[in-house]
Amino acid sequence: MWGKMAFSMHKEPLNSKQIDSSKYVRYTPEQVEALERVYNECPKPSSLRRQHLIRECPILSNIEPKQIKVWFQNRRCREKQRNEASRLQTVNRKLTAMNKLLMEENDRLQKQVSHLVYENGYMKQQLRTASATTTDNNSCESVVVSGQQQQQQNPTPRHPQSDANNPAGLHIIAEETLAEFLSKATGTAVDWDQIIGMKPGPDSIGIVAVSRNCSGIAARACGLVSLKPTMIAEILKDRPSWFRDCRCVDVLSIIPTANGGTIELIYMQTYAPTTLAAARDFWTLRYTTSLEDGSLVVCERSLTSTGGPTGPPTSCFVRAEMLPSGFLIRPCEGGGSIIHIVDHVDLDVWSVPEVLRPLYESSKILAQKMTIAALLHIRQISQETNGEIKYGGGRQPAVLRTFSQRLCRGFNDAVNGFVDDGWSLMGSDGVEDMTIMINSSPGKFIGSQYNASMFSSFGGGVLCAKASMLLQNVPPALLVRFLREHRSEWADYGVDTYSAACLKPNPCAVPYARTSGFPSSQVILPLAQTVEHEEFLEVVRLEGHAFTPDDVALTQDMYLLQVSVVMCEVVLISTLLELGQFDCPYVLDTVGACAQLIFAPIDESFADNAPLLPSGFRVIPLDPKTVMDGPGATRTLDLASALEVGPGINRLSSDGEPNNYNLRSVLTIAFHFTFENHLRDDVVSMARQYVRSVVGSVQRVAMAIAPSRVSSGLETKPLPGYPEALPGSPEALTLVHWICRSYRIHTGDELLGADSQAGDALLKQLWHHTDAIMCCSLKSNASPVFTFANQAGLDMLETTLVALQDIMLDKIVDEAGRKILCLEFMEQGFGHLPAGICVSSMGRRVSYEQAIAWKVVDEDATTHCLALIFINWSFV
Amino acid sequence: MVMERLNSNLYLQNCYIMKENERLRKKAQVLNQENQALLSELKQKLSKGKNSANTTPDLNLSSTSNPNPPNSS
Repeated sequence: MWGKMAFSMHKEPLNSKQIDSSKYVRYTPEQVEALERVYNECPKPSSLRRQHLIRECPILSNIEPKQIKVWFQNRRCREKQRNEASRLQTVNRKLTAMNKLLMEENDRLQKQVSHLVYENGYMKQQLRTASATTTDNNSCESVVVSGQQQQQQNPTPRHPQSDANNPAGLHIIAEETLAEFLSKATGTAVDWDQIIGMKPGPDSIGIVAVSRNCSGIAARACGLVSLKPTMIAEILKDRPSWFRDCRCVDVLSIIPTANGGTIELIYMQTYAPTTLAAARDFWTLRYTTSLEDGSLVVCERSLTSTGGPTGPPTSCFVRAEMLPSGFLIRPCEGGGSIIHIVDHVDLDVWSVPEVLRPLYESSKILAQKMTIAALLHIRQISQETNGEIKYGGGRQPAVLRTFSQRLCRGFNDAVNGFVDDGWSLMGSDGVEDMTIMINSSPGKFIGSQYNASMFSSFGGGVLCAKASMLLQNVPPALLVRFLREHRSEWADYGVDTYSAACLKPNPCAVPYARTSGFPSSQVILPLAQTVEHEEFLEVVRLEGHAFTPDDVALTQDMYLLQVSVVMCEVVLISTLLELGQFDCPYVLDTVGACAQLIFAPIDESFADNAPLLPSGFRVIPLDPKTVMDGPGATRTLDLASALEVGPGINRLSSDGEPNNYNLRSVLTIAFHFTFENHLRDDVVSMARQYVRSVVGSVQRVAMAIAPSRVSSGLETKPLPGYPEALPGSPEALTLVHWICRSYRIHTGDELLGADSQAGDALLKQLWHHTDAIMCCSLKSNASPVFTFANQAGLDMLETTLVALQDIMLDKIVDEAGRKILCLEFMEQGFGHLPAGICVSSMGRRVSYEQAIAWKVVDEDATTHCLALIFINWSFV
Repeated sequence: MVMERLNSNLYLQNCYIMKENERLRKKAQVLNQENQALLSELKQKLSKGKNSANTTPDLNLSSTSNPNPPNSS
């Protein structure tokens, strides 16, 4: 199908060249081979290169230069089409997998409902006959038995009086845990709100749901993975491999069960995400077993004081509770498995400072850190095992993953600074903005990874400077992305040099630590990324640009190993469905994703066991729901509820446009430095000064990039080169409002006609409008690219939402049209084209009755982008 | 563009099924509650009717393995 389409696209099909001057050109197989070879090295050769090619290669010498040019053009186009086709295939596969999952769940739910209806009817009947004097014993029992099953699906977990200090007691607990876990996994025991992992377009990782109105917080996920159940169980039981916040897991005893399963008693410690609250630990019973239908279940629950042996005493940890959780794996035909994961915990919210409570009460963050992380990890392993992933930097994905695990772990160690790792607190300098901790025996916690011999002659150690603070109005993902791409905005080259030099085995070479203040640039060399693109591992090469001869001696290329993790942005699907918006793919509400950026200097050799002393940033959103409505709130502050709730909390402005609700997040920074004992105090003061300056830079950056429509007295300086609009920001609905309003300002007319709707219905209306409506970015130094389009726009451009940003305005509207548009536009901010022809991204000609372009402005009358409408368009 | 349409349709179908599943879940919950109520009503009726009978059916509902009637919660 694709071949045929490609053929029809081009006016000059490439595969025929006849010696007579027919308009078709055909190349011999040798010629094609030669051309392909060149293409693989250089897909876009310059005209000089092409001439060179004709001269050098005798097979190609009888082809006109123009034909060569055309061949390359067409070849690039073919490549693009192929990529697009394979991308669509991937999307299709994912959607089909989802579909299968959903159908299965649907089937199960229907069976469940019909079973309940049957029982319901049966019991009603029994009630009628029970008033008679004789009753059949058997029928009573059957009712009772099924009643038991019903009761066990009851959502309130009970702690039995039975003696749990012996194996028999543990078995009972294990079975109860199993029952409770299953009822959650199959969805009836807890109130769930569904979430779907989604980027613009129908990509998704599986079905995820978070809890509402239950004790503690819970998240559940369901996905399809191409691995055998036993392998999945093995991977997931090894928690530290995928749960980055897990510090250690100790299996203290294992008891076999009758059917070949096991009961394990486990002590687990997790890291605290910020410096403001203590870490949590868990003492649990984990029960592994198989069910009659061949499914494998691993369920787990905390052993509380009312039932079960008491766990190890905890000193700097707060004991948290794990309510029945686990995973259920069912094999499906074709060798894959369907997996249901449930995580249900109570993190002891009340022992945490009030400002941080939303973090510990957020099911969505739990979902990101545990449930989704687990699903993504097995997906990743599955793709690696099935050979679908290319190796990065010549290394196996597992090795690269170890790097990122070590970076995250080292950062967590820094943020937490556990005493039993050898950390001790250093007194402050009077200002309480940060904490400095010293570790004189770093070999203890970094272990074999750290070259402790570094300091054997002089004596020294490791220092950590860390702080946590609140940020407002900046999405975590945006901030972390900026910090990653613009290191020079916050980092200091001198300090980086010092850190890198400390890695060298010869302590004498360590320069005196000072901040240099002279500029540097970075080159990012990607190493690996995960399948769903939530984690990027890369090497950063830093080059200093020194001006004085003295400084030049200090500059050196240095390398950092860096990982950035941004959990996929998730959307509350129930909102979409309730508003009937499921036929419009623009998302209405995005929940903040947790993001972190962690880096460590690394030696050029990139040895697998190179010592790593990581530093970095972590930003976690504070769910606005709990901040606004208090605990136990049942709805997220999304558009729907904002419309329902009373004026005290309703943030809508008078013309129906939503304001950005106050998005707060917690930023945690931790920086590691090494020191020699005699220089310790100098390094401490450098660390203090540095972290303060980094904090200041980050705050400045956060203000500048906040997509703020909140009027503040502060000046926000837009940073050069940084795109104002990322996909999904500003929200599509807001953009649509701006588009319509700006159109009204310029023409006095309603863009969508007299019966233009308000609020979210406007988004849907614009999406379905038959004229093609698009937006382009307005960059002064580059050709405008498309950033937004409605369905008709996508159809006209013959592209998809995801590929939209690859299309430039130049390609679509011809020279003459652009001239007219630009002239008028420049003068009035508004341009108009009479009937004409333009071209889709595939080269197909489109005729339109008229085209209008206008400047789109936001609430502050700042120009945001250019909007275009092509009225009454059709393919020629 | 056939694939694109196919994907859009699948996506729509998925959304529709999700909605349907949610509805079924809620229905199951309601039915469950109703069944609980019916069950306790039935228990009451039966225990009244059993006062004079010899064989007592096991109305123990809290544990499948324990034959002794415990305190039901």
